[in-house]
Amino acid sequence: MAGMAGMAGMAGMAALACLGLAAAGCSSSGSSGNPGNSGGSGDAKHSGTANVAYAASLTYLNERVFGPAFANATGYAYQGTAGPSDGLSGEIAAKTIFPNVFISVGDKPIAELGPKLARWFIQYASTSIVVAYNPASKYAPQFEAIASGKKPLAGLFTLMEQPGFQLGRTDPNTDPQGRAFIYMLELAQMKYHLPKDTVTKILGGPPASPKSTQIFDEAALDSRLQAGQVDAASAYLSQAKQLHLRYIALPPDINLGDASFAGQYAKASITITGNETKTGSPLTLDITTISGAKDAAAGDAFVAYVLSKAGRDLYARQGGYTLLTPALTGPADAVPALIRKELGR
Amino acid sequence: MAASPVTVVPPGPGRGGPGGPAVPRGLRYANRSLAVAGTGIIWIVLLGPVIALLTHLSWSSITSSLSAPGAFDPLITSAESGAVTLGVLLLLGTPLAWALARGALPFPRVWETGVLASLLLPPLVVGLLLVFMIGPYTPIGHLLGDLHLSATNTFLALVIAQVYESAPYYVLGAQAAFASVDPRLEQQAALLGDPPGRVFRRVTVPLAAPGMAMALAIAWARAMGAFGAVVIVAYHPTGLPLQIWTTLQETGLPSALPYALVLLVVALPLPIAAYIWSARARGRRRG
Repeated sequence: MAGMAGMAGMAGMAALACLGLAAAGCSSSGSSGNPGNSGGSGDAKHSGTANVAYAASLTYLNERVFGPAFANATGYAYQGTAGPSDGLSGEIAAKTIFPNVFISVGDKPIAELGPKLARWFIQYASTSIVVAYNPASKYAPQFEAIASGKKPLAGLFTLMEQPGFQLGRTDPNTDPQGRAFIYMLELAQMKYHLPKDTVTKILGGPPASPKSTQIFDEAALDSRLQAGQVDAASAYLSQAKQLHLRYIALPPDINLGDASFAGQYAKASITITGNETKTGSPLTLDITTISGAKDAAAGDAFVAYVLSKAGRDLYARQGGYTLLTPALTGPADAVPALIRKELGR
Repeated sequence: MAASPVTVVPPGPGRGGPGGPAVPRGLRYANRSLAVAGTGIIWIVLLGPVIALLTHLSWSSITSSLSAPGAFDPLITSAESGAVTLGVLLLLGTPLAWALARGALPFPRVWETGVLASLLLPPLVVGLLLVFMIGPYTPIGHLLGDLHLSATNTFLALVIAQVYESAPYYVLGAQAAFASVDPRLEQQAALLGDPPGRVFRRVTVPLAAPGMAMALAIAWARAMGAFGAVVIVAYHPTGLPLQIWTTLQETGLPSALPYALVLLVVALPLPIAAYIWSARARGRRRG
């Protein structure tokens, strides 16, 4: 009986401990709103967190450079969630993540949120697709000759068709980069009048097949290239610069980095899961705030900081991005005043 | 060394020993209720994610997700790779666990530290490090290439990732199971003329079997749910955890959750069966 009483006591205490853990969880997330958490020494009047969901290619820039600079400049805290743009869009819509800002590669993932969650977005920068390569690969001399212009670029696509060539790319069904790489191959096939099966041969099967052994998670792809375990891989120019990868730059009419070629890019397309056809478009960075999200003022401040001179300087210093004149899509009166000010409206 | 004095406390009020005054029935009932309520809260807190899964599933999402063409392919992939993983663990993990339990290795702490180190590494990091070990341009990768095999985005890669994620759980569990076998029983069998292999087969394994079954069941659950290392080395072929991840990204949470239910339904029976069998075997042994 004494054992039973002891057991009751222990169970009661453990239950209290569990409830305590739950409470600790709440207080922990609550404290993340403290600007001090981001190491910010800025205006202590501001409280709240800019909770930013962003395309994974921006991870280094946002976490190491932009987030801390924003916290210092504004006094708001910063928290980031990286992922493929489409995936983040799906998670925001499904309410499994609750950001107040969303930065996407391409405007489609924002547009798919619908007006209830995102009434407007601003296009402010672009990047382009490149072919990053492994300097220890047996094909490295050919890559270097193509990168330096000593050999024609068309030869790159013939090289990538070789049996045994280890190509890495991301999943076109979930990641804009995975699709951009395929659009680039399609555009190159047209531009250089390559045989019609070139793209299929390079990809080792149907373009959007998720069963391809070339497909990796984005983080795994970068690490495979850095570990020298693929010959070449798709990458954004910004990523290649940030990770100090060797890469082959591509002309603007196939690299999806120049908005003036939008019509040309739209000639490339793939059909992904769900029988949905996607067409090529410029690799722009688009930003919006999420309607109804917590700490909206912090989110507005983040977007304003991205568009400010200080924010644009950070992007320029990072390299790999082309800064565009910010272009608003959506009703101007829905844009918070702080952000409108940066747009000059 | 002098024997320490022993204080004998006589049964008294509240201690409830034999011959002591009986605890009132009402208090006994209250104690029991408190114990059940306390453990119930702990149980519910631990089951929180499972409860959330069951309350957020709808029949329409289950039927639409699981009626899609190829919807059960990830299940088959996971079941097949999980079964192969268990085979590999039994074959390679059992001798290591036995040697660790019997202290048959020099510097035993070094060996144990090695197993613990692989347990402590986050699975994602294990996956990233596996790229350096088994990537196509590593010595192992070349060797596999000569055999027309590859450990990148293949069934082999999936099994390797699952083995690395689950092996420490099996080895440590099986080590504890072997350690619970009284070595004197093995010695007696040896004295009666049984060779070591026969002693192991007829004495050690049957006595350690309930604990080994539990270790294997935990390893199975770990292998079926393996994600961190898998997403790095085996994006394809798609097992259940990766299917949940890609479906979440492609079409959102409602279509991803049914796969989590499938994972639970498929992965749970083996651990439950092992648990029941293990508890019964222990009960029989106690008498």
